[in-house]
Amino acid sequence: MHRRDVLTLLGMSAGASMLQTLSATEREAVGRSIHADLASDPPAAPALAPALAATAARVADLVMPRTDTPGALDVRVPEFVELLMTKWYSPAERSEFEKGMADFERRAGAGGFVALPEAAQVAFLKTLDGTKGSKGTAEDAFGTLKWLTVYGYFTSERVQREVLKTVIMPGRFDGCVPVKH
Amino acid sequence: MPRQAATTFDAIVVGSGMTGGWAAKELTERGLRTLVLEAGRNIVPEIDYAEHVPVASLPFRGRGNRQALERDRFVQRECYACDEWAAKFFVNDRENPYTTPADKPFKWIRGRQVGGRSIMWARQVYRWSDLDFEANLKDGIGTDWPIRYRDIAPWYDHVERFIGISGQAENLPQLPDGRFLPPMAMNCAEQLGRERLAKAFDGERVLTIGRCAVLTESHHGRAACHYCGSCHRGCITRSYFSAVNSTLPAARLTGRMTLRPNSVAERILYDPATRRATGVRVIDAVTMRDIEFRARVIFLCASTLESTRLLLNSKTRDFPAGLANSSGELGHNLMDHTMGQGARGTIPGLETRTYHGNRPNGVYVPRFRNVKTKHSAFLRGYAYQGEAFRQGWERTGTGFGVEFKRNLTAEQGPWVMSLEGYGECLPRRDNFVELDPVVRDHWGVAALRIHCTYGPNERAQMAEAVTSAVEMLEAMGARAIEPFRDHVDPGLVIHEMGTARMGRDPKTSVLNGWNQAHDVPNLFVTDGAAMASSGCQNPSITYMALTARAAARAVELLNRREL
Repeated sequence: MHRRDVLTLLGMSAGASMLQTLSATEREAVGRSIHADLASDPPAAPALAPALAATAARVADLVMPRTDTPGALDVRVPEFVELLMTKWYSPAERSEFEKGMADFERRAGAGGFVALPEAAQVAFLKTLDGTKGSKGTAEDAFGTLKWLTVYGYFTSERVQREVLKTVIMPGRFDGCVPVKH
Repeated sequence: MPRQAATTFDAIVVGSGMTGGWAAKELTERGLRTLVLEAGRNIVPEIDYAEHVPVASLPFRGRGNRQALERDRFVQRECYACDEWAAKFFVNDRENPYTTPADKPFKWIRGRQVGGRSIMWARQVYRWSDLDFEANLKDGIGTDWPIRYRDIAPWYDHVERFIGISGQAENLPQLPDGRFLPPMAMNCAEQLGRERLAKAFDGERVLTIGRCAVLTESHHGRAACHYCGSCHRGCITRSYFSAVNSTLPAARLTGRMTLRPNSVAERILYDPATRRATGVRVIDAVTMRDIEFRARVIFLCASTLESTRLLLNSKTRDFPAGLANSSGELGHNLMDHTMGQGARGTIPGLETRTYHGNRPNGVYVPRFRNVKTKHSAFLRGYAYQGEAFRQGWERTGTGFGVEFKRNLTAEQGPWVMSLEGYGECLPRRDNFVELDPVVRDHWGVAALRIHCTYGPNERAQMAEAVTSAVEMLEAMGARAIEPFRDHVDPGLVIHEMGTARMGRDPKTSVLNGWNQAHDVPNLFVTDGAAMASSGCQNPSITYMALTARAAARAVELLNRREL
């Protein structure tokens, strides 16, 4: 029995009941085929366009800049954004994000966001921050980028270790202690 | 189809989870050679547990492999615990189909592996009282429970002593105290909430630390909790109760347990001449071959709906509507609880205080409706589960840049208190399961068709659970109170129960007061299927106590040659 036949079979509403009519050897083959299929990752969407990736990286740097602690670029937040855009978001969500980023670039001014001086970039982001825009707008796309930046930053190995100083096994629970600075 | 020779045991237990582990322990410790059949794979804690895997090392940093989840676990992913660490403990929905009418969505959350859902459960344990066992009789709803609190109380003791429950005694008649290990601490905001609530409601509403199956001191060779906070991903120190961590090792120690993973129970074998169940036919999930096992007594502990499905799939000439179903009640009176109704708010004044460690437990407000006085809008009641916590970096907020980053990295957010109602569901005959006429699972076993909705009594409770949460948060001094009314389909509370109810009368119930099938005396069903009403307490401890009690009874009857 070929894999394609198996998938066709399972795609039919009555497909699973047909398994009963198969011999034990055939049923085993069906099982193996399904498990092989389960083990494989869904295919990735194409990478972000280079200009969009450059803008996303610049925004990440402005949201979480390097200070006395690492910044977003130090912990490779742009790679995390790229990963979610290619392997996590649905095609519809990805396309809304890209539409929003097109709006973002257009409203940032001639030459696009990356070409602006830093003060102008900051001023532009301030016009978007905290405003919940509808899907496909610059406000919505910035909101997505900001959240992914914060999330990717704090869940990175270096920030978990050096900034949050996460202890996996604290060993005890104290319910009410003074905040330490 | 080639069939191996039957193999004979004293007892067969179908299922190795919350109740199967208890049946295995009690039956083997009482001398029975016991076969435990588990449909799913084996679990090896040292390989499978994932609680200490750092978020940074996961491909999607804890957000889950969403596309794979949407393809393979499109039902299971609605459970909070089906996360990037623990998704592997939930079934593949493509291999395990079930159906519902289009207008009656039901979310069936399942774990097919050694230990079952006891691996990912939320570990909350609350005894029932006679307020619950007498409820059906007093309200004239469903059938009267054939047992009362005095029947089960020693078995609650027995189970709690072995598995270890941490909790605070409160001396409330509607929520009996158990055999508690020291309670986990409440945090600053919860302590404040407890004091203010006691004052505002004159002791009628009590905020107490959750009673949970997590050890606060070492117990029967299992270590005290180390507060990593992620029990549903496993626990290498065996600090929370699961069958893998506790009961199955005890059963193994007797030398009388044979545990057989990858064994999908297909039907119970029945001999009409003796009117006894004689064994179980399984499909080996790896080879897909049929095998038959025989025993003198059979315990169904496969989970509420799987045990009932197995009985429905075991129809014979004598029982054309499903084995042990002369009453016609098998499959009916399905219940879950309600949740998703409550409120949250911030608690000001404690900004210089915080907590240390990740407590795998919350707080609890025991039911206060229809306890002393009768409520005008609904029967029964609801309890709250909740917690207070300080918001972390996830709060994000407005801003970006240097000051934004300093605030998120160096400062904690406000204290938030959240209370969510868990309500009792009434048994209704029109909430039921049957075999789907067409769909079969990956192993060729007929799938269930599930019909389940919440009724008017549940909706009235749910509405009030929101307003009561708001008034309690007000009493606690909370600000920025936000009520929430989340849509939650039945099933998602994962307290599904009923469908093979206990009762006094064989004409209206499937099981007697010992979880023994009225029609087939050597067949016991001791998981949630046995429930005649739902209470509003998390049910696992009651299933475990009923299982231990039924196992003792079965051995007693075998020894008296009455099975």
